[in-house]
Amino acid sequence: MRGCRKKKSRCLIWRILWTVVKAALIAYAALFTVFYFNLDTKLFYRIMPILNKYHYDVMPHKDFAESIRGQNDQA
Amino acid sequence: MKAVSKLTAAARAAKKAAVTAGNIAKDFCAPIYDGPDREKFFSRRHLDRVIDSYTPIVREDGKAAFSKKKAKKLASDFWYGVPHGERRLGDLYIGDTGITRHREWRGVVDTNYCFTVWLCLLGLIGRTLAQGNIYFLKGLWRYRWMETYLSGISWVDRGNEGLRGEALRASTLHFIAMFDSSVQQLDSQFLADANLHGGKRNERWYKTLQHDETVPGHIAYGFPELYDDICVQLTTCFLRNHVNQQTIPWYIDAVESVGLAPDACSLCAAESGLCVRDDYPDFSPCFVSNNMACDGSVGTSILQELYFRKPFHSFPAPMRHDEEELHQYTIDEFLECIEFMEKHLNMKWDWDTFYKRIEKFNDQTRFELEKWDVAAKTSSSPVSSVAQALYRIFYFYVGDRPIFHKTDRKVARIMERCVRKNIQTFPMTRHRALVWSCAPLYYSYITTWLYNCWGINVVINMDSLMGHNIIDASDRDQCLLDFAKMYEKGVMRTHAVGGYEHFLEVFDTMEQFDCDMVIMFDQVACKGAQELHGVFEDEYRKRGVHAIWVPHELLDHRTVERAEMRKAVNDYMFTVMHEEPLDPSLLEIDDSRGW
Repeated sequence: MRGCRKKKSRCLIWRILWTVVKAALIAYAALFTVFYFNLDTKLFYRIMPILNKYHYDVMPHKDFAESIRGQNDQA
Repeated sequence: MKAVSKLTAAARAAKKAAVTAGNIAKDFCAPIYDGPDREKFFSRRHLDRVIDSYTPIVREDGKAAFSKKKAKKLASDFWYGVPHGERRLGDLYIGDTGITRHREWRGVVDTNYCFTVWLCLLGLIGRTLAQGNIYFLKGLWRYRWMETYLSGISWVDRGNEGLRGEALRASTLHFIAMFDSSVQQLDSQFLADANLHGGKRNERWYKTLQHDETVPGHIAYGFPELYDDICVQLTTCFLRNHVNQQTIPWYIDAVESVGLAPDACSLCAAESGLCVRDDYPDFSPCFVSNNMACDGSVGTSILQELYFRKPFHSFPAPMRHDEEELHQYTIDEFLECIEFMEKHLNMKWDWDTFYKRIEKFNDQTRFELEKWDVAAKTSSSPVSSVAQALYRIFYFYVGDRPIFHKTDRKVARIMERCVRKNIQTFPMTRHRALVWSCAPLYYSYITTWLYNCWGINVVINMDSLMGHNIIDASDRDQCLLDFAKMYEKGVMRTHAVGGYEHFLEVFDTMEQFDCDMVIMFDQVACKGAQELHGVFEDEYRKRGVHAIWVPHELLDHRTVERAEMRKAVNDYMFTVMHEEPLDPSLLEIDDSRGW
């Protein structure tokens, strides 16, 4: 009985280890694909013009010339 | 009625949001390059290129056959990477985007090293976000210049293009240090930034020092309670242009739209443009500036004083830095600066802390001198020109940080191994070159291109030779004198001011570093350097020195494109040197929309 339980727990440990190794290999392959095919750079190359057009270009800004008007006179 | 109008308004807003979302999706899905020579994924041209480049199939007279020789070559190239002289790096670029189809295959070992570095860089960003610092994301949302750092990893790739072995490792370590330090600087800025905290000033705001990028971090060494000292233009302007040339012109146009002449120095224009666009963070109770590198910087400081509206102090340095009696002037200015900082940071200056940090900075200076020694006397220097140049400016102005000491220790081990085993780190070097005058910030890695295309190995550049004296921290008076001498010889000061004889030290430097060629960067908007153009031409002609004049406009890539800079080199190498390129695919590349 004890022998059976030991065998089962060893099997379980190996199964867990093998699952971890498989997950690590899949993660490595996926990340390496992103790295090698430059997918991160291509993604940001698409995102940046969109950020510019739809966010930064339409952001309200302080009118600098108005904000400093009269400051020199005060000095 | 109210309910109807509310519903109508809500419907209109929903429609607008849907249209915007649709436009965003359309822009996102559009190809990044749609020129006439675009290679579609499922196309005959793409298939032919894949077969020719990556398979052992040889096609002759319309017949395809398996080639053992090609298979062996492919296997060797897979394991070791295509050697310099056979590779065609220019073929990797997609149209005019400057983006490569895939990252360079440098052999199994080096490519895996680059992959590890890539994970490490992602980890640096992830670490900041994982610490719950939402202000990093808020900063990205608030400041237009922050989007530049989305292309940060690409910056590392471009700087290390074509490198292998020890040169790849040593150069990459420098880039990682700069990347790490930039992330830390951004983190410190945003945690203290009142703009991101609803206008409120927290404890960090009161204990962070803001200074000009040409004021070295040494001025903060005597404040042990300070959270951080930050060069405000380093991450907002200077470094940004190295990472992505496309993000600066918006600021230059902004300041020109309020009246600045377009022939002003683009560095000063861009720094002023950040004021006009209200895009500087607010993270400190005071600001320390100076008069470096030139009067353009003084003009920018005036605008910044109006913009920041906080206690402002100038720590100027005299131009005639050789004259002994002027050092006392710098010392007096430094002591005044300390008083100013004590008053506004509400902290006491501690000389012991100052001495300790100066000693640590001396270690960095000593190692820098060792690197120069190895570069001058051997061909085993593992640090690429762009890594060496940027790292030097970075640590000089950011100051003593643990990451720089860690990097120096690792690079020292690599360098020692290269010298001991006499490893030729840049084996295809045909010419040892010196870069002189003001470097183009939007094309800092032109020196990488010079080596990859023509075998011109840039050994040292003018800006790196700034203040490199060891500061004696054992005696206060001597320490102050040595610090003053180092400060006066800041970036663009050692050679560009103090008398024309400094600018002409190029010939002594060529001899010291055993160079046979000079790359003269011709900053078209720098009136100071332009005055000596004729003098340089005469001297080069008199001494028979090969000098390639490469025009540029510092931060503004629109005035002189990168392609024009490369053309200047190509023309000289073909017509005067009668040489053929090592990599012909790099001769004419269109990277006008590139980062």
